[in-house]
Amino acid sequence: MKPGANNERHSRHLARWLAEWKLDGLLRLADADGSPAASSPPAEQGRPIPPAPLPPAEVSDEPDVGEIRLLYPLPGTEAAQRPIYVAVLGKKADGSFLIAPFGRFSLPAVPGEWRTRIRPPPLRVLCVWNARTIPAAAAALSWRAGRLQPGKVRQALELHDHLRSGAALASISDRDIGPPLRHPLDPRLQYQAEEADAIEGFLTAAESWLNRAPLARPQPPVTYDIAPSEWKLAAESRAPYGKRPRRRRKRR
Amino acid sequence: MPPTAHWLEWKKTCALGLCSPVAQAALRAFVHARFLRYTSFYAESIDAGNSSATSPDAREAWQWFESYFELQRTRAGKSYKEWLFSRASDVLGPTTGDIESGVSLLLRNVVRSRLREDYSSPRMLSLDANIVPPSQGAAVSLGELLPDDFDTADEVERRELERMADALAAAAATSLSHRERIALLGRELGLSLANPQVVQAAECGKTALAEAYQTALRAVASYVADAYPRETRAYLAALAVSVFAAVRRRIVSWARAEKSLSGLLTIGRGGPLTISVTAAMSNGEPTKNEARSE
Repeated sequence: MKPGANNERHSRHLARWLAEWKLDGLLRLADADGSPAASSPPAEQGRPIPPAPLPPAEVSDEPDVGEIRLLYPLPGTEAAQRPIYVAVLGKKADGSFLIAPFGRFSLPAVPGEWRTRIRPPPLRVLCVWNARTIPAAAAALSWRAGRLQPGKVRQALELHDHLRSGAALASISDRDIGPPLRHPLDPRLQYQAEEADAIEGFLTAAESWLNRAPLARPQPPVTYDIAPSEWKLAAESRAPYGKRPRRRRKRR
Repeated sequence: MPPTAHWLEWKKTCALGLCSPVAQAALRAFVHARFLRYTSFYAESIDAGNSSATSPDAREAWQWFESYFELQRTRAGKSYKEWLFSRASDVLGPTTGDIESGVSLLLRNVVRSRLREDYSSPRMLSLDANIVPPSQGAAVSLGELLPDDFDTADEVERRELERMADALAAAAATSLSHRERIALLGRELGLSLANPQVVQAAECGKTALAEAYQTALRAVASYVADAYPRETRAYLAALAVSVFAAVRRRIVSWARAEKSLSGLLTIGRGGPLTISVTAAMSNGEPTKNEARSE
């Protein structure tokens, strides 16, 4: 490869990523411009967090390695501001899961982000640098949204290993990871801080939610085993106060 | 504004085409209006003309909205609908406002995706363009963010650069406040600055800590620029990169010597992981439920 060819490629890649980052900031300004559209959840407006609705039963099933899960929008978290999909990459002996979130942009930002080459836009980049080992109960606060091919799980784990131990990348091309990040004023540092906070914020909220006393948790609506026809409607006539309704005699 | 009943009808039927004509018209009009609101803000902000990306018709806008988050055609693949209807501000369930704000948040991603090419190609950043707002006090260009390709001939220069960086890093690290050091340490260890243990170590709130992180980054860059005001921007950028790396090493060494920070060093970057991936790797063939690949 010609000297400087990497730099030229990185330069083009980084320019496109920065354009998307700036565009994202611009569109956020549109929401801040007095629009009632994307108003923040109450917690972000300085009001106390209201009791979260109880996640439906299908949210709480046990995750499986290789699944793509969509995090439950716990109030006050970034997961309530945008759908955050995560890949379940592994399971520890203690039952906790290794998860890595998918990124919000179309290109990998840093060397710890991987272009998955999966078609749906929310799954194009996996942020392996932001992988966490999380308790099973927190991982279960999510919906099953899809499944990664086994080869993709293997590649993600390879990058994870590479980031932790420096092991060589065998099946991931450096064209599919982001350009190096070194300068202290690089906006990608701010981006990484935001993304790390998004996952950490979800975990903190999940822990707090799961630790609530069972009685304090909102209960699912009670369903009575009574047919609607058996309910007396408000407009139906009833016996005057003090008078017992006449009982029907049983037919013999 | 469509009533909640129309949104629920759409959720239940799984596709707009299966909704009643009244619901179809109302939902499509709502999404179209919100879509145009984003694109007109974009067009006004950057003086863009009317391209097909900025002015789709109602049918296109709805189609883009409905397909963006659809991972598969199964119910699980459309779990973004569950997300949308779970963003309730009350235990009683989502209000129309909750659903509309959720749709807007989803649309922002869709609009960004549609405008990406429109925005980036004619405005491709030049290597010399400043990418940090002047309000942040330091100028840095795209060219300065990228790593240098040192070849063998530059090895002497590189060693000299590292020697200077070590000397500057010692002074720069000392000048950082306790809060700034914890902020750099937290990020170096891969921890969020909202992590309770990081916040506790910094003895301040998470917002103040996030600000301290930005201040520390700018302080390191400014320290280099102030020390060598006559050097070229390219040289200063290379030096700033080396100083930043040396400062991070020094901060980790400092933390290792501080007993009170041993907890942070333990949780940072996680412990050894025994991964059970047999379930995911037992079969090399993709199943029909696996996410679509390009």
